[in-house]
Order: sequence, then C-alpha cells, then structure tokens
Amino acid sequence: MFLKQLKIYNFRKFGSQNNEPGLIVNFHKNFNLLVGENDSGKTAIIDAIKLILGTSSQDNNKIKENDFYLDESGKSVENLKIECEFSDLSEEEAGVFLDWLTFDEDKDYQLLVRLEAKKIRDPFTGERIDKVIKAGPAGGDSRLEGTAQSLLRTTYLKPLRDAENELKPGFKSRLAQILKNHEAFKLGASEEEHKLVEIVKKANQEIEEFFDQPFIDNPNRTIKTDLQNYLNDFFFIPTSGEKSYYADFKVAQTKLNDILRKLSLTLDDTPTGLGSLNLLFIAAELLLYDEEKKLGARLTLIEEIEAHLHPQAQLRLIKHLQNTSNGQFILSTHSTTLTSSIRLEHLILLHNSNAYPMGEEYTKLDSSDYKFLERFLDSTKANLFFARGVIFVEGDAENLLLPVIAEIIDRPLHKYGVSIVNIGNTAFKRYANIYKRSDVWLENFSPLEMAVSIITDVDVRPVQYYKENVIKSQRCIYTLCEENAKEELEKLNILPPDIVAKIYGTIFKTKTKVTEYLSEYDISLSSEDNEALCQLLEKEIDQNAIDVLRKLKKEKIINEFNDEYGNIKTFVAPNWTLEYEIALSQIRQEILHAIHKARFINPNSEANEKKLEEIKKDIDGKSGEDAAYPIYKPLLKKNASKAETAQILASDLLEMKNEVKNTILKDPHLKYLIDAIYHVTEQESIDHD
Amino acid sequence: MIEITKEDIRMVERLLLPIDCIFNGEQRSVLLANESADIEACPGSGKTTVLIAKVAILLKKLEQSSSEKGICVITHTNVAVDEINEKLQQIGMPIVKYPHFIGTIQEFFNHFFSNKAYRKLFNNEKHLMFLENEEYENHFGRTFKRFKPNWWNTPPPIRRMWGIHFDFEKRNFGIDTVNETEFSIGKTLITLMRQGVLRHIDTLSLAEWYLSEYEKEIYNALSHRFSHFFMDETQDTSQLQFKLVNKIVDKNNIVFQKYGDPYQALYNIYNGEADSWIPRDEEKIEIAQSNRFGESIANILRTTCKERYDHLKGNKSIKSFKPYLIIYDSNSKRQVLEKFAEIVKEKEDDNNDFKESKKDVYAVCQHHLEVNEYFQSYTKENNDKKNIPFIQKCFEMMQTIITKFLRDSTNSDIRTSKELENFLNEHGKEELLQLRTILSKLIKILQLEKNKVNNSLKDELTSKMVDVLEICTDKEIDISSVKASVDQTISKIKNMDRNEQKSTPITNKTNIHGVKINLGSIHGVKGETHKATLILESNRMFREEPAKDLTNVFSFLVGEYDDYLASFQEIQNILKLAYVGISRPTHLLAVALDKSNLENYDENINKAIHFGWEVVKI
Repeated sequence: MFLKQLKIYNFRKFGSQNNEPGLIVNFHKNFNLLVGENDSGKTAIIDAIKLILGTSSQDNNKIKENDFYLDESGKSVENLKIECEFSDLSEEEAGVFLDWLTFDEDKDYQLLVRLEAKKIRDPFTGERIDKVIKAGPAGGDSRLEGTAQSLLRTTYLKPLRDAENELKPGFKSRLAQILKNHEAFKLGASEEEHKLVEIVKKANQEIEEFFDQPFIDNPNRTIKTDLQNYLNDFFFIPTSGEKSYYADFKVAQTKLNDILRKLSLTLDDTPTGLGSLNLLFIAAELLLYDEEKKLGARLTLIEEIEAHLHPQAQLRLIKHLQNTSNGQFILSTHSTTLTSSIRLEHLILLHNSNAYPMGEEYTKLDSSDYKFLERFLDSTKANLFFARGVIFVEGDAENLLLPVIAEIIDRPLHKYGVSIVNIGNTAFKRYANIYKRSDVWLENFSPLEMAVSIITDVDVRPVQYYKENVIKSQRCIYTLCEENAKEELEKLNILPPDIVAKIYGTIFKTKTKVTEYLSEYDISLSSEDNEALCQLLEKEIDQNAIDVLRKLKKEKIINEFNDEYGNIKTFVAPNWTLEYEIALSQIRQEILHAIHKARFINPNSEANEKKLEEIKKDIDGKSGEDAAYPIYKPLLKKNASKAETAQILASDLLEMKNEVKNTILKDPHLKYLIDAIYHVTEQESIDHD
Repeated sequence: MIEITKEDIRMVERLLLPIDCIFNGEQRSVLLANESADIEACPGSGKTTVLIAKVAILLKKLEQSSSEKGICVITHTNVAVDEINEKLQQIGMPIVKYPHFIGTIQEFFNHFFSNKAYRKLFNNEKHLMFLENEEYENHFGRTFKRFKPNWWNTPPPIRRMWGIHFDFEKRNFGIDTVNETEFSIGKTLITLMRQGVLRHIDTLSLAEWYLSEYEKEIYNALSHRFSHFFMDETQDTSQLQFKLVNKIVDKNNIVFQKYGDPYQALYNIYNGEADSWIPRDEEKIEIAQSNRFGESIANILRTTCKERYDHLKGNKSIKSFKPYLIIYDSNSKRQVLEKFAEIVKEKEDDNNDFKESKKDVYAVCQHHLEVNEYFQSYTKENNDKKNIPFIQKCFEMMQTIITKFLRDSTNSDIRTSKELENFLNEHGKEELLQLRTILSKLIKILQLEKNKVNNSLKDELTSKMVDVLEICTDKEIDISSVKASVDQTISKIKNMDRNEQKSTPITNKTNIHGVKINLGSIHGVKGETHKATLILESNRMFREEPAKDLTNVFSFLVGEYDDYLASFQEIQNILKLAYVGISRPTHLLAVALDKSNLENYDENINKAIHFGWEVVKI
C-alpha cells in the first residue's frame, strides 16, 4: 500500500473554502521530492503526514495553536483536518485494515485516514485542543487501533541540526529513541531479559570484581575497601537497622532504557567531519525503516536531506533511496543539485499553495520530453523549481543582459524571485511543457499559474544580408510564406500535410537546402515534383517578403509556446536577434562600442579605432536596418563573441543606469524585453515611488 | 498454524472450571478441533464455557505469535457478549480489542459493512441511530404524516412498515412504487434513513448490498483479518444472516466453527422461515453429554425433539426426579401452580441437594399471554427501560419538551432529544449547565420541599429556555410563546413519581407455600438452568383447528417419536419449544396438561406412567 493522496484543511498556510481542502497532494508510489520556494509549504506537508500517521521513533505529535490556519482577518480558525488516502493494498493489508476499509470507484481497496483537531473552549475547563485520528468513510469512521495504527507509522528523519549531539549518549539521546523502537528491542510477551541487559550485567560484575582486586603491595586493600572506609566515616553509624551505604562500580544501570541512553555511535575511532557524521545519523534513522517488512505503508519522511551534506554525498544518498524498491519516500529539499538529479516524475512542485506532481499523467510532457529533460536539466536549470517566475532564454547574451535591463527599469529579478534559465538552444517547448498540466489534471485541479516568459528570436535575416550574400545572379530564396501558396502546395499533393506545415515560414537559401531538408524527413521527390516545389517556393528577396516572413514566423513561435491560461508568454525579437534589436534601438551607440571592445584585444589601437570610425561613417545618415546591419555584422561573422559583447554592454548600461532608463522604457525595439520582464514581475502601472 | 495442546487445556481448566473439574472427552475434542466444523451441542453441554475456554487459549497463543490476525466471536445478544467478555476478564485476560472482535451479529455487520454501505448509498456523515422498535415507530408515525396518501385517515401503518425490507440493488431500493401506501411508507423509511434513523433490520439490507458489491474483495481480505471465526447460538441465525456470513468466510483459510443446538432454533417458529443451520455430518462434532440433568430428563428429551436424539446422555452424577405430569381440568387450571409448589416443597424436604440448589424455580409457557390463564395477575417484565436516575429522567423530560417546541414551532433541524443534547454540548454548553442548575432547584422545591415555585425561579427558567431555543434556531424567540412549555415542565416535575420506576407494577413472580416461582415464556428462559421447571400448556392452531400444543406432541413425551406428525411444520415448532422447556431443569421437570383434550385418556396415561412419568391429577 502507499499514500496516494493527502488533503489538508485549515492547517498552517493552507486554508479551506466550502469544505474543500486547501491543499491536495498526489504522491508517487515510490519516491517524491517536494520542491518550491521558501514558505511554499514543504514542511507543512511533511508535518501533516507526521501528525496523522505518527512516527516510528514516537516523536512528539501535538497539535499547537499556530497549526491552525489564519483566515483573511488574521483570526485563527477553530477546526483543522488532515486526510490521507492509501491505495494499492494487498489482500493481507486489506485484512488487517478491514474494519476501516473502503473501496474506490474501481472497487479497489482503499483506506482513508482522517485527523480532526478542534479547539475546545470549555467555559469551565478553559481552552484545549482536541485531536482524533480515525479511519473509514466520512461519518462511518472509527478510531484506528493497535497493529493497524502502528503499521501506518512513518520513519521520520529530522532536518539535520547537530548530528554529533544527536548520536551522543544522554537523557535525550536520539539514538536511544531510535533503538528503543527498533524490532530488536521490542519486548515481547516473554518475560525473559533482553540480551543486551545480560551483557551489561555481566560486564558490571566483572568490573566490580576488578575493583575488588587487592593492591599488589598490600593484599588487604582494594579500591573498594578504601572507598568504603571513607564512606563509613562520612555517614552515620547505622544503629536501628538502617541501611548502610556501599560503593559499587558499574558501567551502566541494568535497565534497557538506561543502557540505550548510554550508547553512542561513531565511525571507528578516526576523527570524523560533520558530513560523515551526518551520513551516519541518516543511516541510524533509517534503521527503523524495514525493507523486509511486508505489511503497511513503509513511508519515510526526510526533511532537508541536503543540509550539511556536500553535493556528491547528496547524490549517492538520493540514488540509494531512489533504488529502494520497497516502500515510499517523501523528501523535501532546497537543493538544486538534488532536484536536477532525480527523475522529473518524482518531483512535486509547490507553487501558489498548490502541489503539482510532475508525473507523466499530470503534465503535457510526453515520454521523450522526460528523457530529454532528465539529460539536460542540470542544477542551474533546476532553479526553475524554486522560483516565483521564470524567464527562459536561448543564449548567454540574454542571460547576461536581461537582469541588467530589469534592474535598470526597476524590476530587479532577484527581488521578485525570478530565475533566468538559459536553455542554450530553442528547445523551449520541452521546458515550457513543465508548466502545462494534462487534461486529466485540469479536470480536477487548477492550472500551474507560474509566470513564464520565453524570450527568443524570430531569426529571419534582413534583406541587407541577402543583398550581400546570395549569389548575385539568383537573388532568390525559397520559402513558403503566403497562405494561398501554402494551399497550392497542399493541392499539388506531393508532400504530406505535416511537412507542408513545417515548411511554412522556413527559409531556404538554395534549392539544395530544400532537398536536404526534405531528406531529413526521409522524403525524396521525383525531379518533376522537386521542380514544381521549388518553383512554388521561389521568392525574390525584397523588404516585403522579409516582413511577411518575420510576421509569419513570430506567430508560429508564439503559438507554439504560449498556453491558454496566459501564464506562459513568448516574447520574440521581431526582426532578427536580440543584438540586432538593440542595434536598431536608441542605444545603438552603446552596442556598437561594446561589439568593438569585444572584437579586439586592443580596441583602442589606431588601426582598430579606424575600423570603428569606418562603421560609424558607414551608418552615418542611415537609419533603421540599414544602420543596424553594419553594427551587427561583426557578430554575424563571429568576429566578436556575443557573450562578451553582452557582458560589456551590460556593465556599460549599468553605469549609466539613470540616463538610459527612459530611453530603454520607451524604445519600441526593446519593448518585447520590457514586456517579458513585466510579465514575470509586475506591470508598469504600479508605481514604486 | 496454532495448535491447542493438552497443557493448554489443563491451564484453562484450572482457570475456568470449579476446583477438580475437567472437560469431558467430547468437550476436549471440540477444544482440540482446529479446522472448520459444526459443533452440535446438547442442552447443558457447557458449550459456551468450551467456547470461552477455546477463545482464551487462542488469545494467549496469538499474543505470543507474530500474527496480525485476530479471533472473531459472534453471538446474538448483548447478554451473551457481556457473558463472554466478563468470563474472559475473570480469568485474567486483557480486555478484548482489535485485532479481535467479540460482538453481536448485528454489531459485526454494522461495524464492517452496513455503516460503510450507508455512506456509499446516502453520501452523508449522519450519525447512525438504531432505534428500538417502539421509538422507531414514533419517528415513523411523525414522518409518515408528510408522505401519507391524501385519503389516509387512520393511524400510521406500523405493521406494514415492519414488513418492508430494502433491496438496495434494485431501483427505488426495491420499494413498490405502484402501490400508493407502500410507496408512502417507502418514502418515509428512506427519509428517516437519510436522517440516520434506522431499524435493526436495515443493517442487514445494507450489509447485503455492500457484500453484493464487494463480495470477492471482502472474502479475500477477511481471511487475513481473522484466523478464527466462531459463531455461538448458530441455530438462531436467520437465513439472510447465515447466507451473508457464509459468503464472506473462507472456511479453508479461516477456522470457521459454528456452535449451537439446531433443535433449539426458536427465532423462526413464528415467521415460517426454514432453519438456516443444518450441521453437515462430515464436519460435525457433537457434545451429546449434558451436565445439567440426569437420565430421567434425558429420557424424555430423546423423543421430545424435532429429530430423534437417541444418543443424548444425561449426567450420571445428578439424580433428577421422575418427571411430573400434572393433569388438570377446566376447574382446576388455576391450581396448577399451587400443585407444582407443593411438589417442589415435598422434594426439597426429601432431597438436600435440591433444597440447597441456588437455581430458580420457573413456570413457563409458550407465550406470555397464556401465562395469565394460570396466574391472572401476571404481567410481563419490561426490560426496555433501564433504571434511570430521577434527576436524569426529569432532565430528559425537559429536553423532550424543548425538542417538541423546536419541532412544532420552528424549522430547526433538531428533531430528537439526543440531537438537542449534542447540539448544546457543542454550541451552548454554558446554557445547558445553567438549565440543569435551574432544574435541580425546581426538583428541590417541588419534590423535596413540596413548595410552590416562586415567580423569580419561573422567570429564570423562562429566560434560560428562551436562550436555549435561540441558540438552537438562531432566531429571536418571543418569551410569551414558551409559557406553555415552562408550565408544562413545572407541572410534570411536580407530578413525576420519584420512587416508582414504572407506572404499572409488574408481577412476574409469585410465592406459594414459601416456594418462589418465576413466571415467563419459554423464549425468555433460553440458555438458563433451573432447579425445577414447569411447562404450561397453551393454545395453538394445528391444521387450522384450535388445539393444545403439548397435547399435540403427547406421544413424543411418552417415548414414541411419530414420524408422520413430525413432518408438520407446526409440530416441529412445538417440539422445539418443548425441547427447550424440558431441558432447563437440573432436578425437577413438570408438565401441565388439560385432561379434556387428551384422547384415549386412560391408555395414554398408562403409557406415560410406563415411560417413567409421575402422573398427578387435580
């Protein structure tokens, strides 16, 4: 059996409206990693499970006043409820839980467990909190008893605070608490003493004998007799049969609990670092998790497993747990390393007081997306799970420039909890689909309302480029960019419809490129068909054709990524690329200089200064793309690195923050960037002064 | 697999049986039996003791094993459940709880199935109330008014209501929608059910539906829940109960043992249902040795039984007296009890064991009403009402008045006193307590001091009642509207009798010549052991003619099992009753017959004398 669903009503930050739960969490049957920004409710979920099911180490499970939800007016509510649904019970488990058993829609065994707590304001005895844990259908439930209750107990790993102290002997020894609840220390019905007690008794005896050994130089004295002589002097002489006091050497009291409290756990004798001790601590905690156990939930809760563990140790631990076939794990983490290293379907993203499990049945991602993301989701990208808003970009330039532009326009991304995720290519769809929920999910649950901006380029080269590069005699490109041309191609019936749709909006420089493209899809056309196709696609390059293409491609990109709820929005550099848009804008001088500085190791040399002057002269008096193209050309020709340019431009802009702020805000060519930032932060109407 | 050993039996003998007593061979073989079986036990066989012994041993063994499974013990009455629990505790067993289950069959179905079925079918969280018949009828009568046909002007159709059973699998839950009356009754029943008010029989219908939905799943799970499943008094299981239990208990994986005496099946003698439990020879273990009575009584039972019971053995160490046949006529009917008392007295003087016996003396009849023919002032003991403290009774009375006000004058959801109390505990605990305080003042003044209630106390009561009513309705209540209720409360407290528990005295005992004779029905003495029992003849139709029950089976009483007669259902029923009655006493059995009904009088009397009866004519 496993914990399939948790419902929380009026507990901590999760309220409840119209008797509907404030939070529903659907769990994976083996492994779950709760991720989300701070205060998203990870601990509340772990604590809720702990409260209702209890822990095998019998931690304190009291409900406190501040566990109750505070309503809009800041008033603490009167009742709270936590509900667990277990599924997949074996016949044996169904037997054990028969008294409380119910059936789901598919007539499969189901166990509902419910914790209800309410504040009792008794006018006579004062206020207290009443807690009952019952199981069964609502209204027909009864208290869980004995074995049935203990079978549901979780193994709980506290967030690591101080492993060394936890493993030390003492009255509050965690180790003793763990061991006491271990199978090996459960006292059965038999009245025999525990083996450990016998061992200690024997040791005590031997020690006592040791101290009774006479001194070598004086056979009449022993440590004990010496001690006893002092003692006798210190106490009264017993007169009327009172007890006299005797000294006794012992390693430990011979009660099992006392012995356990005396134990400490270390790694051999070598001095150990905190990291190793932490692993030892986790190992100790996992003692109570019994892999062989066949009955019950075998649920393990681990909070902030990464605390004090270095990333490699985290990974090994996670891999070990993920490969444990038997039982169910629920972990919470702040670690992007962990997040990026586990399978995506094991993640549960907490956002906006909702829990979004990332299993395949819940998202729009398909199985190839899962494989892709597993390969490419590294720890920097895993940031997207801890953010309140995300900007996806396709390259380093955007990654470097956007935070600066955001800062300049008073939307500092870090303050809004927005992460920029540099995908490094244009596979936005796979990433965007992380936020898109499946239809099955949306039937019952709310969409994932995470603001996501995708910033990408239209990537249609300007007419200036073609004038310069396409073979003079030809002056043609091959593209399908008009609706009626598309229809015509469809009518020709030489290509499958999905390929036609793909070609629509793509530009080929030569006929050969068309053939190459088709062969990628295993299509080879007869020479007549090929000729007919090329004739249809042939297009003379002029501004008009480029404009049509840009518009078409932008629409195509936007349609591909946006979602119907308006959470995911795509912002496209409408002409070509980010740098090109900047070159078109009012800060073209700045990028011109940045490119120049990036282009040469020694930009201020005479020869290089001259080159800059040439470009300046070239664009003098020109406007629009005629001016932008020459500025951009060193980047196109890879004479200057885009990343370096962006870095230089970023720092330049930051220095003149106040002067450029209004320019940037008003520039139509940069509007798409501003909109992208506004989408994940807040709209411009809000005035912060 | 848990094995019961001879040592286990010795251990439990020491705990459970009187000093120096051991289980006999038959009892031991039942204790040792570790597979599914029918345990057919004669009257006085000690079967319940054997069952308790077995349960005690198994509880101990299971505690020591690592098994998660438990033992299930099902019987028919709360008295039987209490008896088992008490005995187990007396011998030092811990209170029986999960994973074990000891309860009535009603509780069993309700706990595992009916309550859950109700949630599935009605989808609400109402607390379920299984009302006693009379209380349910009151609820039914009130609610029926809302649904009755226009032309209905007689009292609510109580009898017909009891005849209606739900079949939740069918449309409209199996209620006939064409018949207007039945439709109205059905609507009333379902409305009550939605409020959580149920009849005991509804438990079974709900369980039946639930098991038809999930039979396989529950069948598979149950054998992981229980290792042993015991039913006591199996003969009193109805056809449907028996069918449902057999449906879910996998007797290959659960040790399923049914205990009982099929000859004592009385539950069905008035409803015509066939016996549900017929022990199969191949799985039968018998205890035919009775500890209760001696040979002289066993001798009669061998033929006075629905089947020949030739191997029934009496207790050799008990010297039961020769049984008495008291023959009376229409003039001497009223002297039967007196004669019986004389015989008891005479025997007590003769036999010290009999005299010292602490067991009761009983005179029983097929039905309560017939007892009056022999003893006019007899009234049936009513065990519905427990002894309730007087103040509690007053408080309940006041709650009833408030609930009535809520029902009649407001549209509150609170319909019963219980609901009122729950509601106030939740929302008006302080007011509830204040109301109790005022009530105790009233009782003091009215009952102890016999004074009049002054106006200030009356005002206090009025204002508190208004408070309570306002809490319940969330509306303002006009003070003048509660005047009647206040007056009614005061006058009822004033007139309430502090000493008498019931308005009519009951007489179910009489004392003749210093012999205390208890009176009652055969049903009422099932399972009991008496020192002396008198069976009184009553009227009973046979083949649509008026007849006398015992006279009809006279030949059986005198050792002649009549196969032809035994084939009649009516005769079977009489034989069951006679068998139960005759098997009660340890020492003295007496049967009273009306002379005028007996054909071939002299011949039959001779037969009786010859068979061992002591015949007394009065």
